[in-house]
Amino acid sequence: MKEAESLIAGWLDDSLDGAEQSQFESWLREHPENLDQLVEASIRDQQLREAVQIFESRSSAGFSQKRRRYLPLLAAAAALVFSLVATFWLSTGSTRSSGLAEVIAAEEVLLGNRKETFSAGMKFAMGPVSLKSGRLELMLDSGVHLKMMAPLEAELIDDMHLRLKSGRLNANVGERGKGFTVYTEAGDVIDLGTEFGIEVDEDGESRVAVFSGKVEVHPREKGKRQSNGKGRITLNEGQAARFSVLAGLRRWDKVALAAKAAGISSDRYDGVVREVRDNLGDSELYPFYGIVRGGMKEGALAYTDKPNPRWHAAEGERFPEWLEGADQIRTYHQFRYRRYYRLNLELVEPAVVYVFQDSRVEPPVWLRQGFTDTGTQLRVGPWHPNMAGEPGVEVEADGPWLNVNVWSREVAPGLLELGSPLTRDADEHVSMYGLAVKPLHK
Amino acid sequence: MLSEEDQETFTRLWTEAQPTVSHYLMSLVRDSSTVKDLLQNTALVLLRKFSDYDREKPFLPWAMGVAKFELLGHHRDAARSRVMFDSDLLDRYTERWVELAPRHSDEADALQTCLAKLPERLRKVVRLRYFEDRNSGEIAKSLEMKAGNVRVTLQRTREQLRECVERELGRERGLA
Repeated sequence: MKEAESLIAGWLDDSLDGAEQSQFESWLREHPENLDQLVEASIRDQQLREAVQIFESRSSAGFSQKRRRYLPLLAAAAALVFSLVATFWLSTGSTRSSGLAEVIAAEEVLLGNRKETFSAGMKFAMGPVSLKSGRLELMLDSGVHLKMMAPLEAELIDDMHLRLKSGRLNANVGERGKGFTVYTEAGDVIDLGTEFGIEVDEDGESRVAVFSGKVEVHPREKGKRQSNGKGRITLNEGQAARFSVLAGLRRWDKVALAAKAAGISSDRYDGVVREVRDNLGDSELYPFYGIVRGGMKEGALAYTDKPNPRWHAAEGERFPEWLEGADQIRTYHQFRYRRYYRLNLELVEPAVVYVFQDSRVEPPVWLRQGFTDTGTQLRVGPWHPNMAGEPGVEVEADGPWLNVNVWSREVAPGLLELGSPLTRDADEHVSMYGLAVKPLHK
Repeated sequence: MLSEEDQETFTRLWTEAQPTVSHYLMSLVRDSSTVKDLLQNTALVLLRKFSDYDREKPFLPWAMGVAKFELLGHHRDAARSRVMFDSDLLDRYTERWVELAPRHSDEADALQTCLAKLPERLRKVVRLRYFEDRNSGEIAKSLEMKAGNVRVTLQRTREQLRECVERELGRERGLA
């Protein structure tokens, strides 16, 4: 009889002959304790198969992206001849790879030195964009939805490529826009199907934050005109990174992206929460969580990845005074169904931690056993109209609303681990919990 | 006919369970187009029977049970699955898979990091095995090695990757 590992390796490799297969099965029946070893090896083998396929696909995608780099640049040159400044006009017909984007929304846009009045549906030509003030949202032919915030200097190369010289933009690429690439001085960001934000400083540093899905970041090396893919990293949802030609790739813990729009201060945070980490990140890159010092109040934005829902007092009541001014941690609504989700808070001083749990579902064990229900409720909303059909939702003129129960716990300095908002696999409708922390001695 | 709400719930549960079921089937069938068919049949049966599903119980064991029956049906019809176990062993294999698979659910990202760290020579062997789906004999021919050496190399590489994944996850948890 061969050794266990050798037999299992032969089975995984599909190289056991008929006699060996029978011998293998007999051996498993005689030594049932080895079945776990086989199943573990088999699970890992399948995970490895999938990982290698993803890894190799990405490698070849990265290669072809590099080879195609100069085609878009030619297109950009043509667009520059066509138009030195962004021009627009009304169009009634549909366009396919037309070299035009469609305006989705615009607020007080100053393009170059000209104040422009845009309205939804107008066409916007590819080419340089110099946004001096305001906010401009465009939909490209590829389905990529761009939100640009002034001040911004960029060049729309085509419907799959953009060069960002300085400024901030968010991109939601959708299914058709996978591979959408943002070139920056510090490197290239290739979208693998996601919503991400990118911010480029005039001094050449780029910062990218991923709200959902994945992007690939190819930092450029010093003295090289293009990234060679060697230092390539993949950022998953909730992760952020900063990179520059001089300093290379670094972690970016505090996200200033779209700071004003999101209501997140980009100032240094030195409150009661030292660190917020979950178990979903890679080894050196961590999800970022919006921490707003003293941000808990009527109308505070609830989540990092949701633009609308906000915390409000329960119907007919005042916002609880004892909660007002607590430091707020904006969680990710999209993590609500992750059964193995763990969120660790590191506190620098004794504090009260508040959890706002969806009142529609039974509270999970970690909440029931570790926290106390204060008996207070908050409302959160408005949610997307799609939620209107869910049970326990109150539908109002501006959309659906939910009630949450406020749970609390006094915590000593150090680490506190929270879990998933789910109690059962079949919890059909649950929102992600919200969090706030208040120092105990204030 | 399922309500819109049930359809949404089913989609969510199946989306979560599908990778595990797919891996399980692939471990026993080793043919991606057959696995695709079996997965499709499994999803259809689950959808048809979703109104019978007890929401108080976890979804994965139920889905795996259905997948196992689809696999047995395929084996009976096609008799082509070389690595198939007898019924009793298959039952136990399936049970253990349901129990053990969720413990490995957080390893995928770490595995990507570890693959990137592999020396080129080992990555090539891994690519031939898992991307080009060649067995050790074919890899041996391609790399002018002995088949036995390819098996040993693959085994050691898997071991190296497993240790790397544990280190990565340990580091992550240690820092958390």
